[in-house]
Amino acid sequence: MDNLNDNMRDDAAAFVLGAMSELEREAFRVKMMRDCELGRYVESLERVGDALLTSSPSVAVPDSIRASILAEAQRDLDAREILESPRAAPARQPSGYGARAFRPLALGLAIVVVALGAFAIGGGFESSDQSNAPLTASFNAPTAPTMNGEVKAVGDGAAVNVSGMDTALDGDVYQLWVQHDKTVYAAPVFTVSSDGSGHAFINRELAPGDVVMITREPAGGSKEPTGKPLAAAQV
Amino acid sequence: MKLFGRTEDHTLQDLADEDLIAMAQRGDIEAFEILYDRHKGPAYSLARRITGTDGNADDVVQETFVSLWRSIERYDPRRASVRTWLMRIVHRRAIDQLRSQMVHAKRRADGEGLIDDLTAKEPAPEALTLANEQSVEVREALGDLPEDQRKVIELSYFSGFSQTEIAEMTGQPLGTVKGRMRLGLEKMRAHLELEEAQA
Repeated sequence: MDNLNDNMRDDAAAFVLGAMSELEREAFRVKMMRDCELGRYVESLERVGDALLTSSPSVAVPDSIRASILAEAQRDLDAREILESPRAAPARQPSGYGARAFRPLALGLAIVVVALGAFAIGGGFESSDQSNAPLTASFNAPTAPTMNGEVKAVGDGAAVNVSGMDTALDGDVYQLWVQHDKTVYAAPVFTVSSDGSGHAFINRELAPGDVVMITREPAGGSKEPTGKPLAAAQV
Repeated sequence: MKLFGRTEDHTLQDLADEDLIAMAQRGDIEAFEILYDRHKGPAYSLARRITGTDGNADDVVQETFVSLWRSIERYDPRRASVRTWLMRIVHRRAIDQLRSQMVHAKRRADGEGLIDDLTAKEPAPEALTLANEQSVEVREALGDLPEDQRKVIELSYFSGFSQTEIAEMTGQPLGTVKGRMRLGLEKMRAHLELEEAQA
């Protein structure tokens, strides 16, 4: 490391300690990429930085954090499970035609879809306005096979329509939740009519990848989901 | 004995972090629980030290572990150990939170006091573990530095101040601040390398 002057070493130390502005950091990164010796010097100081991270005197960790983290992780797992599970009973299937009968057709459709996708990626659809298409998604509810539902983006929010829901709520309500990026947001509660249908509107703009979930909650709803999601839809 | 069985409680506990991460990547929440239990102490202590309050430390640790669970597939064992990866996330989040809050302005006003945080707190009983013995060594290495070098390291790494801000706060030229940072880190590196060689 003889070729490094003090200025470069000073910058390296400031870089490791996070003491540079964003602009300075970027400029230093460029220098580091061009200079292996500087990179090795930074690595040697980063080992000190990593050691410093574990140098804090121990303080007791509140038990409540554990429960909160694990509840969040469990909710993610539940939602993932619902989204990935095939529906227990398909809503409708033409009589006389089993799933097997549709396989050649499905394969043919899949080939067409892939071909169209490749065409589109290659710029084949000059006037494609897919970005303007409203976001929609169907609910998956493996534990409630009679349930059907859809979430559809409308303006700055989304309309939720469900049917086939359990009507025996005993004073409870259904509540919607939106998982966006890494956060779960509470959305409105709703009840269902005697035929099991219900409607609600989410006052929040949905983004592709968001997951909308339904849970059963005590009257008035909850700030955080208290039970497993009954249904989930990924837009 | 089943390798990943639940019949013997110690089986999961005995696994290395990297094995637990691999299991958690497949959705094993028990593996994730053990990772949390294993690293919660240092993670919380670092968050508490940087943010200065229990409430903020709670938020940082919760956000860190939830985000770790949701992006656990991004872990690359070639780049860092699980502990280092996790602690870097805690550090970044805690500093981000600190910078976004008024606490930062208040701490700037009485910047002198926070330098003493390092030795002010009594270690909890769990400080007797090997990991904590190592952290004591690092604290000693930091404590052995001349005060002006220790101070700039503390102010930047644990309080989130930039080199320019530190120069303004301490009334020292920027070049002096940078030089002290470098000298401090180099001395600590030499100290830790010596400890490592003797171990």
